Amino acid sequence: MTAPALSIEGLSVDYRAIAGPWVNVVSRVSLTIGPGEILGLAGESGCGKSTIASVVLGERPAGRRVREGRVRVAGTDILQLAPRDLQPLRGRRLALVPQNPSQSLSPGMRIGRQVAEVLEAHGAARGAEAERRAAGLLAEVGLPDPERLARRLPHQLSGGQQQRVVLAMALACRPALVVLDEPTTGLDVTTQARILELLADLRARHAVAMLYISHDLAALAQVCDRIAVMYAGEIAETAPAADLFARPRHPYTRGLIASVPRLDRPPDPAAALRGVLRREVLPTGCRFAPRCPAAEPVCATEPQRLDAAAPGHAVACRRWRALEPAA
Amino acid sequence: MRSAPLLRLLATRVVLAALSLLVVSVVIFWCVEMLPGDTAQRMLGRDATPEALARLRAELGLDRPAAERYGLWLAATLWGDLGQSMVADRPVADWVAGRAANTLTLAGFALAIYIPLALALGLLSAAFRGRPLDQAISVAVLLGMCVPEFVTGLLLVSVFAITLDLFPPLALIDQAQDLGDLLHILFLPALTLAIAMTAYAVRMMRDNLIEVLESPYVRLATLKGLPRRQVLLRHALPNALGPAVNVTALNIAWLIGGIVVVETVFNFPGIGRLLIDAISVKDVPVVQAVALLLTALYILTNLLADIVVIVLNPRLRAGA
Repeated sequence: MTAPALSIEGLSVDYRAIAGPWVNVVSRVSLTIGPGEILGLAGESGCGKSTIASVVLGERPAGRRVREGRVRVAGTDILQLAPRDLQPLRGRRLALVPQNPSQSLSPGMRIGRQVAEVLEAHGAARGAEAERRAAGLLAEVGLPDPERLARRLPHQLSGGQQQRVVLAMALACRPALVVLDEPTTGLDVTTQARILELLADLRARHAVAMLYISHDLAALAQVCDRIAVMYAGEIAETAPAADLFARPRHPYTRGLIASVPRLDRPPDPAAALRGVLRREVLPTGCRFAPRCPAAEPVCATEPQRLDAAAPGHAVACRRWRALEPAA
Repeated sequence: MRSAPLLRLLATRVVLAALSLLVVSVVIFWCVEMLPGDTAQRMLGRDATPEALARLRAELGLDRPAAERYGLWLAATLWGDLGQSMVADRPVADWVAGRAANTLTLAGFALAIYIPLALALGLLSAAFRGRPLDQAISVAVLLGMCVPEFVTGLLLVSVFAITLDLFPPLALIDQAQDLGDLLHILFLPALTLAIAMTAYAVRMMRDNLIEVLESPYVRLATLKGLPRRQVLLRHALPNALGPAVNVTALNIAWLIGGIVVVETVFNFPGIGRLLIDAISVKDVPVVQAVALLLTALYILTNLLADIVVIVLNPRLRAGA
């Protein structure tokens, strides 16, 4: 059996300001993405989603430490690799589609060159051959007239085109795993819908595994096989995408889903999330307890663990059975 | 259409430049006029008879009012005639041109050392930010900034010319036989100028690069698996150059003043020495010509820097 595209086991990550104390940001997170699978990682700003992406990509900024855990991409232990061994992996086995395509393309370099660079760095092609294949990759992500577009500079492209270019670079070497960090956040709704269609299409053709990070549940619902919901650095619930929306079990997931505005029914303020995530007052037990409508006093002191509620559906809430709607 | 900002910039600058030159010529004339004594006195010395002084003054036109003399000078200059030196009895234009060629050679050599040095040190200190190499460069840069150039020059002379005897202590450019000779003679003064300029540029380069290195496009270039060298040279460096070009323009402006000092230290027959000599005998046409030349250079350099910044910026540059 082939190794999973991504396997994260018990990952805990801390940050600190200069000479300050370590603050926990990701706590005992475990995730697995099978070959060709798309896993969505949802949660509010600051819940640790982008930190997980950064750790998976092998980034090691100052002021951050991985306290425990293992991260393997297609069987390779990312955390144990020396920087020189990471470089050949990046772009070839493991790629990023970043949050802000307009700032993620080198402003002075022509588009075709920026795509061709990936092929050249990994020895897939050189010079004119690399440029030719770059144009092919641009066509593959649905960009019309790729030869002409390849000669343009990033600022001459629209946001949607820039995002497609970044996607073409990520897919250039047919990686085992693509990390998409809020890939549609800066785009307008129609462009966003087209990018999501493209993602579904690319996945169908290339069977590339993706870690799709977003706070946008509606976007995740469209492309993901499974979704993991994070709260304050912990996994609150993981479930197959359809299951999560049909039967959310964690009170936080319910709140998130209820917070998405819908046209077919009036907003329900009672069901939506209250308050905001405050890291400085996290309880020792369930981290969501201070905002939870169903919390009991014991929730704040008793640590929660993921409990299998149904096949493939796990929830970190001691009260999930009591909160099941009467069937 | 896309060259419109450049054209507008050029037109405005040309008008401003003409105005600046006019103002500078008035100020310089007035300043020289304020100096005690006059040209006749300085040429003939303390023992000159009143008759001799009066004759020379009449000959040089010094008996006319200052405003009239300025007017005559301005009119001649506008017609392209910079006049005769009062002291040396030779055309100002030839004299200044010969000295300016020497100075430009020295300045060009200094820039040829400065640009690669500043780029390399800026890149290294940003790439090794916070590490010993960066700290060593920072200390060297601070020293280069606070030690005045005549001290640097004398230090270099005492080490490389006197102790090690590798280079001549005086930059006697007229003795150069060929290019190698010329570079050998000019090396120490050029290095002196380059050190002072490099110090400022390295600090600027380092700060810009550190900002660029934290940008999303450098992050993505790294995550594409590009070698570190390629990330630095192809993605970071070109985008950190804009402000460094402006510093270089300021540096060239400084160079114009610094060159006077360095030319004196190395006894170099350039425009700076000419200016000092001309001021000491109140040789007004020469002083004016040199001052206007330096002002024009200063204006031109800044204009050039603005144009380079526009060309470097892909949003303003002509696209495909």
